[in-house]
Amino acid sequence: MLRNIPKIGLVFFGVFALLPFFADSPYILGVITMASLYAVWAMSWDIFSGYTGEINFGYAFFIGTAAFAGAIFGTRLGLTPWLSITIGALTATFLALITGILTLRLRGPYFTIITMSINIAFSELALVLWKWTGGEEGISGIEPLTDGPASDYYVTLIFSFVVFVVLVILSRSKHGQILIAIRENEDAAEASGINTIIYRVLMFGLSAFIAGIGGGLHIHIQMHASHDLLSLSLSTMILIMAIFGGMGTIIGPMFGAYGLSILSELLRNLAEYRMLIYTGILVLTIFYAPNGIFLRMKTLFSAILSKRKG
Amino acid sequence: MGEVLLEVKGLCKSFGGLMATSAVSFLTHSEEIVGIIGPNGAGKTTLFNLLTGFLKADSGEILYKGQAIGGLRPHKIARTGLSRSFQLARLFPNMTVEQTLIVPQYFTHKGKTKKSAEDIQAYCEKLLVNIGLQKKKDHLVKSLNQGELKLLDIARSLATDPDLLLLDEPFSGLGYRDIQPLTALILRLRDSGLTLMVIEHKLKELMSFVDRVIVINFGRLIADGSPQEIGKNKEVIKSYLGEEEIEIGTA
Repeated sequence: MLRNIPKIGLVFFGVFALLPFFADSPYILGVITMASLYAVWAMSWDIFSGYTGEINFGYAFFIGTAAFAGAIFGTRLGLTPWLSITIGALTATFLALITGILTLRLRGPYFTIITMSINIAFSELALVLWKWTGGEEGISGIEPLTDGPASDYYVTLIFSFVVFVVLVILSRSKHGQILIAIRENEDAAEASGINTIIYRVLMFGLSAFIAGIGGGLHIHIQMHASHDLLSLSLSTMILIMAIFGGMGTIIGPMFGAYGLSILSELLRNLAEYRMLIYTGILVLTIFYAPNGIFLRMKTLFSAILSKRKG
Repeated sequence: MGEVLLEVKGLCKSFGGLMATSAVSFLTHSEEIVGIIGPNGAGKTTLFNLLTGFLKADSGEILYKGQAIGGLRPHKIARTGLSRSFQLARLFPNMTVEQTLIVPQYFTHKGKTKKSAEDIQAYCEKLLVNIGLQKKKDHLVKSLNQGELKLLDIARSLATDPDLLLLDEPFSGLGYRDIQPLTALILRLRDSGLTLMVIEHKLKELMSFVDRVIVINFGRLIADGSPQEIGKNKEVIKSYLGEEEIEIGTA
């Protein structure tokens, strides 16, 4: 099965696995730790939206509800991090299945708007229920995940790698083909015997489950459940990373998330020019690599290689 | 002619005030080819949509192999062995021709055991040869021309391994050179035990191979008989075929 995993992805994770031996500053480790979580979210966003073609514009709904469910149960009942992460992820999955059944009959812009609205509604709900969620300040006093930045780094990196491998295998299996068929033409898929609704709902649930684990890891690493985890800006960020990397490829969103997270940090010193350069790069990507940087790089490299051979 | 495979009783469907299907009843026997004709907008495709679950009937009954299938979702009906093609080919543009034929085979209804990868591969090869697209096996669907898309859509509906196949204007968009082999394929499929219902405007070609013809106009079934009977039916001639008797290929 591992034969099917793109080599470039294995090399990429291999390099990051060795990084702490050469650069062990908590700052660098912290940046890559967050990048790993963004990669998890971008990839799990992609297994639904990239493969069924329906844009989920409210992905932070899954991350945030998992984070807050985990934080509330964890702090009030004194649960271990792994138990609260599990509870959070299951809560997000449960909510995804319910909202999935209610909304997946909607298509295109209607689906996008409803996911966005649910995200906003829950973000506001968290403010209304401030006694439980801490309002804008969020919930503090959350158990740390591990004993230090290096361990956090490896936990998130390994999780990101596992998600990468699992989703690549899934997307290249018969189920991946079926999802693509649904994306390409739903009527033809139904006429071919595919239960398109069940597939969509299950992928929505899987997408939420992985996002939820990511949300749980985030609060235990930060020891704080921030209200930002429910924000539409987080949803937008994940969407940009996945589309920048290349929707419907899993590996593209993974690269997109690590790439943009690191880029954003590198530009930090440029103060006001930061957002300008960042958005400039995004605009250029849309023009010159509309299918994402991953596929663009791939065609570029294979063109160079074939020129050399020829 | 074999036993009754499909029984439609008093099927009705209206869109707003328009009766698209009005108390339509007929039988289809196994290993029979039934032609469905009627003017544009007569309700032929609506009838197919009702039979395959893409539309829900207002009233009436559809019995397939003795089982009521009215109200089932399209994928369920496809899995019972009732398959269809579309008037305008509906396919998966970014998949290859081969993948397009592999996907439906994950859900074939015959036998509970799953097909092995080799069986699926072999069946694909056979289908591609039958339909004459073996050279396009690894091409993306979006690179095919209209005629090829039409043939691939029929192949996709065959890949679900049906007992009853509904073809919606299979000849539209095809040149004369493609129509003959497709007609031959339809006859071969019938001989191998398949039952077919074919909507078609190219009457001369259709009449040459069907066993029976159903005529629909304004959502009503106005005639049901052999091609010869239909050719002489006064009401059919008046409402659809023009004033003169039609030429029938087999006559």
